[in-house]
Amino acid sequence: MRFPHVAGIGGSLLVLLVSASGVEAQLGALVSPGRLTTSHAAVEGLGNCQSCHERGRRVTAEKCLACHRPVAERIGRRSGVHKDVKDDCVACHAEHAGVEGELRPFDQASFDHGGVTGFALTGRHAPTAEECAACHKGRSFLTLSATCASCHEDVHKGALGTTCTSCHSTTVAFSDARTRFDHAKTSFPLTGAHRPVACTSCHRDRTYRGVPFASCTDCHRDPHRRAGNAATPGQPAVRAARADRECTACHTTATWRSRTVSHDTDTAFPLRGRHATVDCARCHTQPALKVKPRSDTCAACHADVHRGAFRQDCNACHNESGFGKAPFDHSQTTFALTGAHEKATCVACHKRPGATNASAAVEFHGLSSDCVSCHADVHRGELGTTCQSCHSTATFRLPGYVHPRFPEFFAGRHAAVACSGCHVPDALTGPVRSDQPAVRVRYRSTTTACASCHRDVHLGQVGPGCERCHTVEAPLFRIADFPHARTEFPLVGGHARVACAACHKTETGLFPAGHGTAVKLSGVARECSACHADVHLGQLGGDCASCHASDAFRLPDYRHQRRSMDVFLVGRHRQAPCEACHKRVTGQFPSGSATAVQYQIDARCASCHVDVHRGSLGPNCGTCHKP
Amino acid sequence: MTPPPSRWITSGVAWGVLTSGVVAAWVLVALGGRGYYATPLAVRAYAPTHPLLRPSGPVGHTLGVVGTLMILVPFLYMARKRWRRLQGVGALPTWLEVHLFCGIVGPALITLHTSFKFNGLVAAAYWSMVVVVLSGFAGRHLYVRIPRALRGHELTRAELDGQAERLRIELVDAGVGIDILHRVEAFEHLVVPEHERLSLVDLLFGDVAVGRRLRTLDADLKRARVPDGQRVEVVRLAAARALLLRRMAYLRRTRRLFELWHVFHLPLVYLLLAIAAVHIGVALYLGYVPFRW
Repeated sequence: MRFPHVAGIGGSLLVLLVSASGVEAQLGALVSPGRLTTSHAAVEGLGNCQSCHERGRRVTAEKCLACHRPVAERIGRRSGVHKDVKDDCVACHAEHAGVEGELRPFDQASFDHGGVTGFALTGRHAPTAEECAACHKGRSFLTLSATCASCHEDVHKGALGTTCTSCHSTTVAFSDARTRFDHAKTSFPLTGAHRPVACTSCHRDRTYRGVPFASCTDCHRDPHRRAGNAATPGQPAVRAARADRECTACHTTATWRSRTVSHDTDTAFPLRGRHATVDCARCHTQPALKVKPRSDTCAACHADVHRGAFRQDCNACHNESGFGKAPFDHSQTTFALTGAHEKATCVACHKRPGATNASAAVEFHGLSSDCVSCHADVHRGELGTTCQSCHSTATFRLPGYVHPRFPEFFAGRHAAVACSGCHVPDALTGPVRSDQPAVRVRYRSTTTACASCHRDVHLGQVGPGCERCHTVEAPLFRIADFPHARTEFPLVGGHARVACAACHKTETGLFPAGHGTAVKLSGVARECSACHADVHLGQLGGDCASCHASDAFRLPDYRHQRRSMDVFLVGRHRQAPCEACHKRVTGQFPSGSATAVQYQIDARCASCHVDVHRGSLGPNCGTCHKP
Repeated sequence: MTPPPSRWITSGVAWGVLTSGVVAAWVLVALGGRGYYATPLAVRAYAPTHPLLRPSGPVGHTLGVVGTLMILVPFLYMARKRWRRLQGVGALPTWLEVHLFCGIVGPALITLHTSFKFNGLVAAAYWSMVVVVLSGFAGRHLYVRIPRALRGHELTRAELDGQAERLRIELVDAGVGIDILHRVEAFEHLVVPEHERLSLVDLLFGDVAVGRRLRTLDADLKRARVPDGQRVEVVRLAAARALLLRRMAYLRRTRRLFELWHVFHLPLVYLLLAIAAVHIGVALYLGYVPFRW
């Protein structure tokens, strides 16, 4: 039974001896709890344990920092990732986790690059937070500094110093450094159109210092410079004219289309009036303003619409305020412009007949001063050629014209009638010459007969003597106070208050002037029944006037005319009202069956009173009773 | 004859597996070991549970120390077996169960102490330990096939014969018919090998066949309408006698195999101890002292 023990102890010693007899590295691998990472490969092996481990003290920071001096230095400075660490290196850096072991645990998502390193990843640097290796290309994170040049190539080759941030920011691309750079701090502040220009347009080849800018031509081509840099006689270049002057005398940085040129002082052609508003290129038509335009004659720029008709200069008639407003004094001619003529444009009169282009049709010579040379004679010569006898230049209308004859006719409402109200155009009776108005208005031999203007609305009922009833004073020919007494039916009583139309109704039928519709004036029936209805239904005959007067139909003081009624209307009968006997009944009347007050009644007592004696005492009530 | 206490109550194996399971569950679930051990070695050092569960951490180191101490307990069992001075201290079977318990729990704690990181020489010690534990199970398998008295000493052939005879008499006294006894006899004949049928496979795994044939016997007794009380008693006695007869038949072979097993079980223990000593020595030397975390 001792064999197993002997064998075990012996075998164990053998194993240990065999292990110990191996090379040191192998023995280290046997004792080691795991391989070291490749970074620490140099200290792999049994003999190197105490490179990191210290007897009885495990792994001490002194051992680590003895090798990792940059880290020790940063810990001393309390900067970077290690600024707050204690002396427990292995708390973060674990070894013996194999060759692939992670020595630097790092949570990229939560790493505060700005807070820890003092270099915040902002703007265009922000995406690199996802990929450390974009900047930290080496193994160590400590090899980078916060200077731009540690990552970026200095394309300026150091010419602009090391403070890149004075021009560049992380928020924009390098090429857009303008958003950061304040060119105003340089000797050449950017103004006007210089501001949007790309940097490289001036700073070619990335040269940012020593760029010449004293003269505009350092960057800009001189368009005024003709070939050979010489002015051509007669057409001097602008450059030549002001060879010793700066571009800025005319131009600003706002735009090349500069208006700072003082045409008044710098040129022989001061710009006045509308010339001041004309775009430069309208006159300076030569490419790039190389050629100075002639300014001695207007025709250099303007077309002569008069086609040489005037020998004198345009200034005699025109000025810079506009061709349309030529200050020509027409009174110098035989035809001074007055009234409406003053407002007429020149071409209204001075035009070539048949011309369609006004500017090409102006004709100032040979124009007659006769009215008809411009105006059409609507009277077709009926009133002669001396238009001024009626018309003035103020207007063709004749507001103050007084007809020399028939003053009573032109008074009243006729006074306000326009001429054309009476002087209406004739109907065309034949061919008309092309130079005469197509319409002819007669002003002579015009009749004053009412019917020549007015229509006879009475259709011949009252004859042609309108003035017998109408005057020119009344509006719309109304007759305010027609003397009806002149007729066969004087209006008295109630008739005087009745409107005309109550009797004179508008009828359609045959009238003296023909068939038509008109107010009936003559032949109106005078019988009462023509207007009034017979409420008695023929009981009392047709002679209304025997009872009624024209004042009123009512009969308050009617007295029965039959003498027999004197006996009857005594006593209580006398006090009874009319309707006590003349009752309103419905029955057969002479005019027909209808309802009416009955006037023809029986005078017997029984016709009104009830016979309480039932006929026992006979019909003669008067023997016993009195009314 | 009073029946022996339940096998599981006194089984060091059962308690050892249970205890190991509880500790493992505590470390894996409560302390977050499951996620920690699954973390790749390269970055495991930065897991939040690393300070606690790493081999030199409070939990990991304690597991290592306690596991090592438990591994040393079997040597006390060895000393109890060999040193006369200790022979009065506890029953040997009890010592064996304690040995088994510590032999299971100790390696389980060591396994957790390693954090499943097997590197270098100490890994050799670990795998040696694993082999020793597995061989321990094999030894236990052989050990129970050598009949022993309650105090643990092996029974003599005469004592074994006596026991077998007592069981036969108990069977007869059970009051079953002669045909039932014939049936039990046929069962014994089937499960207890004759000399010419002895084999290593039957020695190690033949008990499985005993169980199967025992169930057949039980079914036969049911068909023969043996009353339940009698039937259970007969089956128990038949089983006890069949196993005893099998042990007796294989006794010589079992003893020889058991001696050979020691040759396999013991040397690796020494190797394990030697490497563990180096491991502990280096750790202590470099300052990884227990309870100084």
